[in-house]
Amino acid sequence: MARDRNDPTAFGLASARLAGMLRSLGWVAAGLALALLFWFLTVDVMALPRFRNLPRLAEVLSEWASTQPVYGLSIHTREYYEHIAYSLARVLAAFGLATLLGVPLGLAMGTSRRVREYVFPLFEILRPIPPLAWVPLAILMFRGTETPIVFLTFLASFYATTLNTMLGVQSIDASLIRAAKCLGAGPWTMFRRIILPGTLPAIFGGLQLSVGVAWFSLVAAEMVSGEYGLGYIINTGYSMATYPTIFIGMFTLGIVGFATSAAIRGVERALTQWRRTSLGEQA
Amino acid sequence: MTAGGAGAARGRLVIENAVKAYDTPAGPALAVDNCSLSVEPGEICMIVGPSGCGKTTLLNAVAGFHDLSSGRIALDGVEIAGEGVQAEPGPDRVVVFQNGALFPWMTALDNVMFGPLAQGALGPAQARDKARAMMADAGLADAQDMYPAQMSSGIRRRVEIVRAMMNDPAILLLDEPYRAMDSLTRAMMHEALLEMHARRPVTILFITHDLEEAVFLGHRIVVMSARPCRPTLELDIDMPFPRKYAMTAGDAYRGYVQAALEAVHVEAVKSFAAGEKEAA
Repeated sequence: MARDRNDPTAFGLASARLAGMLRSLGWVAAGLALALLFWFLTVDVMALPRFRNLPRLAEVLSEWASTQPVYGLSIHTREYYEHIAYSLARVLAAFGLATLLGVPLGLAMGTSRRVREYVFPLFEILRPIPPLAWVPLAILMFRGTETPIVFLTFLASFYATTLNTMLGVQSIDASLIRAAKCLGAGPWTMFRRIILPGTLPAIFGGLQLSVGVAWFSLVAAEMVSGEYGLGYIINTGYSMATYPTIFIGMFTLGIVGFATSAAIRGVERALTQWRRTSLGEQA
Repeated sequence: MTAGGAGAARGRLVIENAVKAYDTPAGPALAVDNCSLSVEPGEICMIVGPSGCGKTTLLNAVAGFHDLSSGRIALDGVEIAGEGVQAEPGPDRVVVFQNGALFPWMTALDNVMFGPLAQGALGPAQARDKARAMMADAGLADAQDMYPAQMSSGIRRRVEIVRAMMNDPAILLLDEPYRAMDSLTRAMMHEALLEMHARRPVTILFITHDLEEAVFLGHRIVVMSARPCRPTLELDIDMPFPRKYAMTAGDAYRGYVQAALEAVHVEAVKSFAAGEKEAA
């Protein structure tokens, strides 16, 4: 319902929400600080046997922020952003393809028993094969460096999206389907106004997983082939023994990966407003 | 028969010798056996019986969710179940479900508009106007823009009944719609339902196992036997409409509840004994 601008409770709700956000930001900061402290203590202070060979926290941070990085990669170098751009573009291409193919296939498998019987057994046989096992085939089948990487990144993503979508269709409450039939819904109305919105939360659950596994497989693929990308940085950092660069690659991967799933959560929140019950959460 | 307000010409339901058997690993099991029942236009017919007696199976056959094994069901002379008839739900007999079935992703108004839009019976603007007017009549104007998750269970159920009535159904099929509610909310639901029925006397087939509810709402109570389901007693409730909650303290009301209770008790004992036998 429309809320009055002068309504005192509107202000109260907004400030309560702000306080809540600040509080959770505080927890996030505390969690990060603890992890960094752990690193500092184990490597710098105690120099524990297993941790002795790792770069120090300060070393990594100063390299990352340096205008003249010792190993050639920091936030001030153009190359750093090229690596990010390559990885991001590959993930988005693979994720986009997985979504475009996986959502319709999942919907078809969920709604049609015939389609499910055709596709599901094959799907379930292919699904446990890890992306790394596809590497030889990907290199034989696709030309250049980009297409095999995108293909390998696409695979796990596609399974996650398709499977979640299918399960989402099947989890729609049977009385909703019956109610829609009672009210005279034909197949198209049923699909567009019941099946699709009813599956949306599950689809987005799948997309969250999908983008996560896309990053997993991307790094594996970039370690095998390619001359750019965050996986490539990490792999060459190891073979060239430039250890701070490995950490820069890992952290950047984490941050960019987090940003992609946060973006998906944002879209989901906007599309499934109906799931939020309290007025305070209603945007 | 006290049933049937003025102008309620539609909504005569005739069930003849309905049988519904299910295949189970132990052989066919009868859910409904040789059940005959007719409901007059505008009548509120309450079906009571022990839990799991097959009442819902009967209602689902009327709704068109499944076929009968034999027998026939006709609504206003048109056969809707029987030999050679394909079971198919339709907006002339809308079900209100036990656990509620508002579409969670639509506002109350969009839920109410769903039927006429899905059938192509009304354009969006007309459907919206009609839905607004019907919600206002039912005292639900404030709930129009709420999503089901934001409504109380009572409001949800009332919106669902308005959604059904939007289609001008010949009969309303209610399957224990107030089962999970507290008694206070339930009392309000009962009065709201009767008010709605006074405005628009649709035929109502109402399943419940709550005898007080059955006596308060019904023109007639039909007590069903334990599985397989078949009418064993019909009780006309000769109390005037509009019914008010004060009546529930009266002798007439208590007498009807007592009579229904005895009939149902006999069936409940039978069903319990049958269960014991199966378990042994």
